[in-house]
Amino acid sequence: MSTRSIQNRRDFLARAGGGLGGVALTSLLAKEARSATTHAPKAKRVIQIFCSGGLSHVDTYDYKPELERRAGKPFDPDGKLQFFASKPGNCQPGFWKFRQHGQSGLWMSDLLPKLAACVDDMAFIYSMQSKTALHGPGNFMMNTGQALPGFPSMGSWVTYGLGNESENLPAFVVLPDVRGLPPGGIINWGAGFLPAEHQATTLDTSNADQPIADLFPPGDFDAVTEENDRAGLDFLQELNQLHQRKRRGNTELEARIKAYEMAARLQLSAPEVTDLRGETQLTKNLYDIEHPDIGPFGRQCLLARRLVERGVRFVQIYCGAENTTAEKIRPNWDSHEDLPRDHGYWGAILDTGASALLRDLKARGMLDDTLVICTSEFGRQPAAQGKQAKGRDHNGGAFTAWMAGGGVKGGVGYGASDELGFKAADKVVHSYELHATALHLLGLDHEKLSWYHNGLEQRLTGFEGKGVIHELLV
Amino acid sequence: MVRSADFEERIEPIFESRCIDCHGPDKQKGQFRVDRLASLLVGGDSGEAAVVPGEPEGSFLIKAIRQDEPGYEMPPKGKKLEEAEIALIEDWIREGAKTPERLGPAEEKIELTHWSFVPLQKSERADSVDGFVKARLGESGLTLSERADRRTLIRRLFLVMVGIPPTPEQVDRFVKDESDGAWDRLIGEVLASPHYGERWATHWLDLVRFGETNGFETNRERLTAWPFRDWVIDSFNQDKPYDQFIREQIAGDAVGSPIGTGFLVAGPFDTVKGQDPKLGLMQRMNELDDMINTTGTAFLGLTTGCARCHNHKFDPVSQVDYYAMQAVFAGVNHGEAKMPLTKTAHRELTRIRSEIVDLKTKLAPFIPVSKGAVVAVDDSVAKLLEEKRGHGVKLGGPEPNLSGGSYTWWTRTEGKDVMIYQPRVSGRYRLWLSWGAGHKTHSADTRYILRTASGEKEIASVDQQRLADGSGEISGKSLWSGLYDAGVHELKAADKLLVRGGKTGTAMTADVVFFQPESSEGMPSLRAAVNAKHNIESFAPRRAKFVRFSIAKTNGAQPCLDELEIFGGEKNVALASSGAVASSGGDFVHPKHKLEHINDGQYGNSRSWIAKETTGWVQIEFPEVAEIDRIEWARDREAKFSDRLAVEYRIEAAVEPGKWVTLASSSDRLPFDTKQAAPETYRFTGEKAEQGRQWHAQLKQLESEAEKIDKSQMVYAGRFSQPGMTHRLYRGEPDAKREEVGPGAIAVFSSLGLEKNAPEKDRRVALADWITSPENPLTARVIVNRLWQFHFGTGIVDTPSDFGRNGSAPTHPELLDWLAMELIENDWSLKHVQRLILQSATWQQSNRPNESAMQVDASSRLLWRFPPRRLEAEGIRDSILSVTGALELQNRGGPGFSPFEVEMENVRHYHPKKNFGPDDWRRMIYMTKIRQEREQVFGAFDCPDASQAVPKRSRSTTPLQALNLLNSRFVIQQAGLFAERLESESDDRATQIRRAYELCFNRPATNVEIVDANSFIEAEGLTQFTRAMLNANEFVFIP
Repeated sequence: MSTRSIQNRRDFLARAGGGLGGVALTSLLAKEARSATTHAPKAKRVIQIFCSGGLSHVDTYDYKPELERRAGKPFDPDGKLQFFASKPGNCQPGFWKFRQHGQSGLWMSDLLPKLAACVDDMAFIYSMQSKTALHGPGNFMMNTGQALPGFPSMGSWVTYGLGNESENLPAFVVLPDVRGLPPGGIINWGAGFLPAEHQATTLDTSNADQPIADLFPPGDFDAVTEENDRAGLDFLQELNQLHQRKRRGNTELEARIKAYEMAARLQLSAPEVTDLRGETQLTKNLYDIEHPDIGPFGRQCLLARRLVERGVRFVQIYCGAENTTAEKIRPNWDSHEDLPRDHGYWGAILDTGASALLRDLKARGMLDDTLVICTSEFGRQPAAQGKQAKGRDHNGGAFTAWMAGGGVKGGVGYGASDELGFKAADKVVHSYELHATALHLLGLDHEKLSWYHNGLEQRLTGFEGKGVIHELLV
Repeated sequence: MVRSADFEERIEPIFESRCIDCHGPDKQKGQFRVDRLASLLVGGDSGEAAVVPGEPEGSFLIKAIRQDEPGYEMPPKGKKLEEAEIALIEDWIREGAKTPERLGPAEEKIELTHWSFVPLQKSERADSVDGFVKARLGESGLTLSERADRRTLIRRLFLVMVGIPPTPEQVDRFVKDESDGAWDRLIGEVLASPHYGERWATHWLDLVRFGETNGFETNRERLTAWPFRDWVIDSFNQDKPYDQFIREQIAGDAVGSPIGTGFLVAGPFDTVKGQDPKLGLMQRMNELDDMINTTGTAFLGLTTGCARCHNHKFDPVSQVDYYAMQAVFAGVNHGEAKMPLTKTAHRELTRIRSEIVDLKTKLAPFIPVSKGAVVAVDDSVAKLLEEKRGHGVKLGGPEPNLSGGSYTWWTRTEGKDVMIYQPRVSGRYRLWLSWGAGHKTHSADTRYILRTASGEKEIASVDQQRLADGSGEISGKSLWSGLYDAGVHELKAADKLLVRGGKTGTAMTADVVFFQPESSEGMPSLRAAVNAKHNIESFAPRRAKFVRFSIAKTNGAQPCLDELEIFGGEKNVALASSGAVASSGGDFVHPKHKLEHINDGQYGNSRSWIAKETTGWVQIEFPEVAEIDRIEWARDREAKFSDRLAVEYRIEAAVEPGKWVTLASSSDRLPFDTKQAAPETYRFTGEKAEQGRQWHAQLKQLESEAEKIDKSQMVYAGRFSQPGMTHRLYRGEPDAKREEVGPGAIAVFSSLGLEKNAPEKDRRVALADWITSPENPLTARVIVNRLWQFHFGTGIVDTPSDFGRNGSAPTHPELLDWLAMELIENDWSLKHVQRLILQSATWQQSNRPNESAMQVDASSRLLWRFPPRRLEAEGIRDSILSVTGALELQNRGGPGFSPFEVEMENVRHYHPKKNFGPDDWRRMIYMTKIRQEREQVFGAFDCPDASQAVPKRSRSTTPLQALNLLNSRFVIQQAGLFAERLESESDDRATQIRRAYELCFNRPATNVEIVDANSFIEAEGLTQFTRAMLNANEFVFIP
């Protein structure tokens, strides 16, 4: 038997669907007749919030009483440890007070008061670990399962596995932070070796005229305007139809004709989805979309809800950009110098947007089949950094991620970091298990969702993971 | 208890009851079986020896059954082996692990039976491309399609071989050429075109993940990577024998083609080096992995990456083989290398350099001799005796303002000393005082007291309301006083100048004081500000055993010095190689930044010292007392970095420890300003000033010429050094070192016959020799398959970089071997193989669908037609520019053009360009390849981002591609240019339409098409028409 069980999407669909050899591939652009699910999905769609820069678990979700007891004592008395950019300072407890919340009594810090109110809908993984403590590779790892650039992102795998549900919108949409792209840039949502149709479409939430690049002609050309655009497209399609008439059976020609139709539909659907005027004032307030600092992320979250409402499968929201030297407050969570200042700023942003999203989805009955994931590329050290001891260095050894909705149990914690939050200790989780669990909820078997590349049936979840975390499932 | 470790009686029963189901004749999980001695000794996927006779503690089998090894707990299901059973197995191993003969010999030769691992096979069945293809078609009841028409053929030929459509004139000529050999001549023409290499280099650069930025987080530019791109283009154009092409990429430095090794370092490179050594080691392993993998996949079609952590599951690549290849590349580092100059360039450089020396000699008298002799002590660095009240800032007053930006002030108390200046100089010095003025609260009689061994002496009493010359308004605005001459005094190093309260005013102030040697004339002036690239401190000859460089402030982060040179005459006495010893107040720990770099004679950031804290010092101790007169230092003499520059510093010398005397400091330099970073200047005074200026202008001109020639020598082709020993790493983890591994290749194929410590270059040469050996079964097969793929869209093997067991089998194995033999027999000429393909009826057949053939072979893999396919990104872009007339076809080679505006942050940000001109209209192969980015219009057409090697691009169709090609500024501008071109060539609408069809589709428009187009243009304009043409399927598909 050939060891190569699945060679491409066609084979994959055929096998997964029990021999559907005739699935029309060109339907990638339109509604999928069948997807590649192996079991009934609990989640129909995913919204992932990615906190770039390294969100501190010990200041937010992961309560460490021992760290409070050792406050101010040397973290590494022997001086053996070397962090990413510094030697460890003294033990530094969370800069915000931790309290228990909800019926579950899970702990959260005062940095995230609104999110704390949602705690009974959330499942925390306290034992996350990365293979790297560098921003670029860390972002790649959490998005693609590999610390090297160029592998397909989770959203690409999901659309490859499930196809597109929407006639008018792409299956995978990314909403970058208005301050810029995350570390590593656009390949965080690239399709890697999967066909380019699985890469994300970027929606620019700050550009109402062109939310998608080149959605409309630029506007300063007399010859090509939005007004005569439709006629131009019709003429092109006539050329293409004429050309295809003698070449029936060449599916690529057909696919390209359909792609131009879909492009025309996008010109209607993208402005519709980004136009927030139809939302009630109550909703706008919930997301605080007019606030100068909180508002942009609130808009991203609100837009994510509107996108999934309209059939988009996978939306990724970035909360944080890549590092720049120009800003006073860091443009992401990378709080080396002044964590109270920078996490203080970003905490309010995440707290409002993410809690609004959870509450809004729940109120609309969408949380049950929408999986919300929130993660970072790594955590931060329990020891202080810097002369003023107000910062924290990178920590690939431990961080916290949470999930909600879409078949995830609420009010549970899974795994644990050690008593100081330095390293994941109990039930260590890498991107592999997190991704396997998300795929499982979507009805996909992470071991079967594969693509042959470079000598291997590559998977999002690699080959060293431990698979789905069943304890988190309803 | 008597324990016998007899295998058959005591051990085999355990194996049979607990192990053999998974590790025996039926299954060999983890490629391990307990019923063969060879397998027991070698072990399985883990790469560890399962049984080491005599050493149970070193035997992986014991770790596995003791369940001490995470991931290898054996047996994985059911209960653990009894302690007694484990003890028996340990005894058996301890006693030599003897087995009966039926378990086979200790070493078993692996038989290579997989199709690609056996030698090339000569087939009797056919002797041409068509022969093999027809034979295979026949087996499936299929035949070749009819020959395509001439217009289709020439268009196909140009798009595939050159990447742009033929001109209507070229089409016309070929269509009308009825003589014999017209097609062959056309093939000859395209193969001889310089644009052929531009097209085919793209395929190779995809395969070797060529990029012109480093990738990862900062994604900085690689400004000197482009020569490798040109080298690849030239190699194709010259039809460089493929074995030579390989050899030059692996070891070009050994065969006189050093640019070729750009291949080794073409991949991503993480320049963000943390301080965690394990992280750094992992990064290095990743770099080497990239080289090993790319070499394995590109040349051999073998995936080797998985053997980094365990033996390859499908192919005969063991973990040891992987680390043997790592040892081959262990001395290869990312970076630029200096290429040998051409003879003419060398001659030119020698001439310029001798002129530079000449001019410098002439200019020597203009270097200010008093430099460094003036010592300035600012109030900001002098010692405070009393708590200060504050500072006066934003100072007006005489220019140049030497105040350093502020003065210090105190409450005045009569007779109380507020500040001490201690310049640590000895000799006769003129003292220049200055203070803060402009306020009527200031004391009018502040006293300056010189305290020496013989007592105190008042040298001045000054009015601090006014300026040094007694003038100035007392308006309440803070002023710097300018300089007050307090006369010449004899000073010793221990002497101090005190500022003492007088009788009047409520406040008193202090600012910078200059100590000027009596010998120098005029007012003290300031030297050039420090700069990152080079600074010189000259002073009168002085004897010293210690020199200390102390940094009080930088322009950001901890200070960095790439080299501290201390001269006595022309000799640098600071060099470690001449016995000088460096020490410091603390070092930043990093492989690039070490204390030993401060005096290793090597420049640049990668050989530099960084202090542990933001202030710090570094010291050189000479083996014996030396006379010194000059110190040269820099942040980075290679001028790549300008942060971490010492802007406030002091250089001191001592003959005996601790007895420091200041040699020079930043105090008499102009304030540091990021904008001005002028190197050490000459000062032109006196009669010959004009002549000096002329010489200086000439010098600058020559220096820039020399630098240009010098820079043209640098190419991103890697740096090589003799590596240390390579070790196998268990599970690929850097801290799980196992046995030493010498350089080698894949053992089942060949040993490279190298010693463990073989010279670095020899290792790569040996690897290249093995890969290019005609006996290597893979190399020729892999490349002819690639050629086939780029001719037909799919290879004979459709996993072009995986010819191993997990790859696909060839559709035409005999054809593949025949082509491979043709290649080798014709001196590895790629063009020869391409000619064979282009001359075949198989390549020239029509691409039209045929219903019955589609039933049998829908994907056309058997080649009953020419398989249709869309052009790649480059083909589309170049074709657009070609038909609109904008293409800068003759602008070949050299530095590329970028599709991005670069925001020069530490982390580079790439913003798509918004305006385009002729510089952007070169062929896309010359577009600077920014890793991890996609060009805004054509990137969407499956254009790789150079993160990973791409042997076969995906070919997707998406709505975003449609939007980019319809609405992007780039395409609309081209549509406009196309319309202008048509209008400039004819006023007649029908002629314009006909011309557009000829240009875009290489065929005449039909009458219906002309009528339709005409009415469309009437309604919507010519540009809407040209834009549609550039978007048409007929335009972007290879016919």
